[in-house]
Amino acid sequence: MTGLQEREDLTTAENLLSVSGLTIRTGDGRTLVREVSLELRRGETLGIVGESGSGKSLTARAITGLLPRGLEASGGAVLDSISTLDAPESRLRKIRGRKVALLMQDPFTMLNPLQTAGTHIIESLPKGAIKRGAVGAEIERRLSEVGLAADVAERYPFQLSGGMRQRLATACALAGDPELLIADEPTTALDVTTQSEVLNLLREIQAERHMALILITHDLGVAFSVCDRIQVMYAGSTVEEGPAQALVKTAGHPYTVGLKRAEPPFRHYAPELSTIPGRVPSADSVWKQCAFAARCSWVSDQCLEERPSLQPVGDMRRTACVRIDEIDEELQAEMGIIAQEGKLPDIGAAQPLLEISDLEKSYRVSPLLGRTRTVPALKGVSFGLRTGEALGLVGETGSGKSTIARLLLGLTSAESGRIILGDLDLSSYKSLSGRERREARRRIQMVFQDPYSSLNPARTIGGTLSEVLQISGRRKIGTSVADLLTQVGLPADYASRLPSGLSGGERQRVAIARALTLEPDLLICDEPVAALDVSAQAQVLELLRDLRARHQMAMLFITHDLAVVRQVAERLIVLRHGEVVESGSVEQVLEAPQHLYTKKLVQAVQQTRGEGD
Amino acid sequence: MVVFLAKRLASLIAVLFIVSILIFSLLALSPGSIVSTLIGTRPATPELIAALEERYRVNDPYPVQYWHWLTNAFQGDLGHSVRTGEPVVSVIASRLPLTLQLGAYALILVVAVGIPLGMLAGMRRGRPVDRITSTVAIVAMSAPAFAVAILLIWVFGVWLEWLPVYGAGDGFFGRVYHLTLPAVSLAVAMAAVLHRQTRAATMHVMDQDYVTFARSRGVSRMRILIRYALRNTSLPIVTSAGVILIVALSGAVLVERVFALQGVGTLMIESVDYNDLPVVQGLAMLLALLIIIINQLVDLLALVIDPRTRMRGRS
Repeated sequence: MTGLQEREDLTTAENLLSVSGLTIRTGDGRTLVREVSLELRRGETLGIVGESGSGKSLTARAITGLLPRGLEASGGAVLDSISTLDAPESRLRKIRGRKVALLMQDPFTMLNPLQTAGTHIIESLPKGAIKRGAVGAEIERRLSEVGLAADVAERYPFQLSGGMRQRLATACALAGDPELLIADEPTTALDVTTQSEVLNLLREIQAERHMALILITHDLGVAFSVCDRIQVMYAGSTVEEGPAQALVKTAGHPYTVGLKRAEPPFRHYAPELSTIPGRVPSADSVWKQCAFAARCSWVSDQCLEERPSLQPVGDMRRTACVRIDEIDEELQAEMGIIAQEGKLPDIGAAQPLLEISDLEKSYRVSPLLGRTRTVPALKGVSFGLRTGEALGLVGETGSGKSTIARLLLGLTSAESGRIILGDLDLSSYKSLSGRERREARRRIQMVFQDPYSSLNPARTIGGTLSEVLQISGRRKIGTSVADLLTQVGLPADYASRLPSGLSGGERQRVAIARALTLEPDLLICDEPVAALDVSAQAQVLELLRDLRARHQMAMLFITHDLAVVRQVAERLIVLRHGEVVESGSVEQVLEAPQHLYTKKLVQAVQQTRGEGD
Repeated sequence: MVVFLAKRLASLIAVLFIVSILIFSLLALSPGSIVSTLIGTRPATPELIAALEERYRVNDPYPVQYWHWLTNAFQGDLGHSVRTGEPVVSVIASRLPLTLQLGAYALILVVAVGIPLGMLAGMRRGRPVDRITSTVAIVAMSAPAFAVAILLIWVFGVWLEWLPVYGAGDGFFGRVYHLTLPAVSLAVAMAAVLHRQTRAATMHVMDQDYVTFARSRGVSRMRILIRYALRNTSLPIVTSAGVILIVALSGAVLVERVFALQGVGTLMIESVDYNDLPVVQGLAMLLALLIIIINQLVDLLALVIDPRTRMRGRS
């Protein structure tokens, strides 16, 4: 205890925040975060990086005293000489906003839907800080700091785009002029271009105000581009920490290497995407050993003997890898492999499969009050797809990507234009016969973005898959649920599990198995990896590439991630406001973008990746 | 806004029209004839029967009967009570105020008890306040209004002799004094249902990111309670309150009976007993009208509460 006391006295002089031995447990005794420590000086930027389940968000919530119901934190967290873990709520309320503010992940749920932007800012301003007459001017100033126009003040959150909401939320978080801003995945829910805008904004504001910033992210590239120091978390504990500049070049822990390698390269096609096998364990199951041992290719008996602590390895960095001295060279060599380039496999001279011409579609919006408006979603979109070919469809929210998928599946109908799939005319599903419609539905299958909601939570995996098997009529020929699971790399005994017992990546595999059962000619993937962690993302991408080659199946790959599309598609279409603004081979479009919008997209990716790519 | 209200009014009239057909048909099909009721113990001479049949248009074709009833109803004439010979409208009008007072009293109790306790329970999930109020609510929900009424009469009327157990009382305070036990019996189950609804809605809202984000910015407790919790829960609460109110209308029938209140509920029972068709038809229409109005009010309130419903499309 005295040791801790001493440490606090020493550090508070220069440190704004020092967390030591932070442990977070559930009410029933499970440990989620174990003995995490971190230190932050005024004006410094710290990145906390890790996949879901690593405990990074909980750490942030604990620091602000905002742990979800039922969780208990122990250890120490001292913010500007106030201990936030045991301070009463009334004390915490005074420091929240002024000393520390927490910016959360989802701009769509973070703002009170029933009050205007201006009201959000007013309520966040410290009491009595602004005179009555000056409130309007203050709101305008705060909005302009985050790049929003003054008239936004009158609008409700639902009238703002995702990027604008995140800016507004940032303005609210900054309204009390906090000394520390904790941003929890502030860009994950946003489009690429908006992502880089919001990151730039955070960077600028942090520098201008000389404010300390903790950026929580699962994306190492994002962390590199913004942070001074980086702390990598895994299964509830820190595995490595050090200056960002050092981490960019070398890794001090096998997990960091895995994370870096799992990120698909943007500049070239990688013939083999690196994956981290397996899934993140619970903190409790690995508390007496190295947490990463089960997934590490350098694991030895030493790693399983005891829980490794962070050891300094020079360069002001520390690692929890006990074998770092022995394997250092191999690790750095492994980092270099990322740059390995390859050529897209050739699909040969294939037959045309899908022909889409001049698709037009608009939605009617009829508010309860006011006039009905017509919003165009697609304005004359044409493209073709050959057997076995993969086409990337890139564009931001509202560009019409998903409308194309819905039209292909017959979930909505177009005003004009044609959709021809082989010998079927799918321009209007309504005019198809029942047999034709079944045939069309068999030939086109879809994998959805969110594997958490696309599987029936009340049905076992086996139940879900055997349902499709019955529809396909292949049960007689002897295909079993087990075969389907093996095909997507899952053990056969998963059949008896419910979706809730699977990780995101595993669920997405089940969704893919379900789609493949009908042996479709065309597989539509709508952001299939957007909701997944980087390691799971690489696994699923690798699976999709493999299955496509094996089944000679064409793929329409909808995404906003240019690096992902580079790894799976041969051709690329860029959509904007319902129009195709650019198309061509993936290489051509990404290397030498012609349209201004495509250039902006490419630039945005380079920026969020810290240009070092 | 004008267009919206006009549309709503038009749909209101259309629904009322359909309901009127249903009510008229149902009652016209029900067994027992008005004529035999009217004759009662008198000798049934052919002249008397003919005169009554003429007066109540019993022999006209069904659509003609309906048309007559409808056109008269439009002019505020719902026919005459078979029992007393008074116009149906004035019979109902004389009974309506008492029932409305009872309903309003009960509603005030329901809102004043159900919502605050529900919010408290929702915010302190699992704590004693939540456990106690939730247990009481479950008991209260499962007790029918007339059973509660009898229990209350026994405790507060017979045993403690604090409150009157029958009659409506005179003057404002007399009325409040007399209506307390009936209103409480009516309110108990409704307050329990509203408590459950409010608790669930509050729990949902308090778990939302925007509440956490507001707390992380140091927004005051009171503001989170009112502007965040209350406003965001009010939408589901208002919706369920509408349904609760409608269910309560049927509860009022029994409660009035138990406390011997000469309200619309008692009138309904008497009229059904006596086969007083015009009055039953009139009451049924009144009930339908009330239900439609309550639903419209709920929709309007939703518009006032939530800017999204005002401006967002339904595409």
